[in-house]
Amino acid sequence: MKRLLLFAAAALCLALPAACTDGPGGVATTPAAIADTTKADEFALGALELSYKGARLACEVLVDAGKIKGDDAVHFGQLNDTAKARLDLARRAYDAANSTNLAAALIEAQAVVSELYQLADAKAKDAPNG
Amino acid sequence: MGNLVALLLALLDLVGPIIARSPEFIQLYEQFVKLLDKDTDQAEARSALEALRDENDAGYLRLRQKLLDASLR
Repeated sequence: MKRLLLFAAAALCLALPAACTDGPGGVATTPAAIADTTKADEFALGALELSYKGARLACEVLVDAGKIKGDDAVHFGQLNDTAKARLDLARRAYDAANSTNLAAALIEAQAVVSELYQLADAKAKDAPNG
Repeated sequence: MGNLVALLLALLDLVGPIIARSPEFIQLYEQFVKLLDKDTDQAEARSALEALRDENDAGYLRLRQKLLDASLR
């Protein structure tokens, strides 16, 4: 699963520079224009959305199995809220076609999503039947 | 193409205990990236992203409630 998150991070790294590359013939020369004519931003945000989905599903499986409860659940809840808030920031940058803000927001969001997943991964390994 | 995206997203849900099934999950990931990278036009990519956003919004709220309930145990 860590490879999944690494893959997502790599996807973000690959997608974002592409969004800042001028196309031949001067078709699109500003970040907003490029964002409107390429799929790079969709690709980058999609990778983040999938990362969050993987992390939250991992948490949900553990909650359903009774592996997360009490104070742990509070901590997971805080991380889930933070991850979603960062995801929402990335979405707003995407909606505004602001590739510069999107790049920063994606990196920040990915960090929290990775933390959420890594915590779930550690909890799964700790659990007797995880 | 919309049906394919829906299928992929449904499959993600069916992967089950994903921590133990990461290869399948990674494969779905790669399929999704291919979908966005190759033959899909921007409108289709946006549509796929929109579906994923909706799903994550609902999933976030569901997990939030489950964690809240679990915190009381």
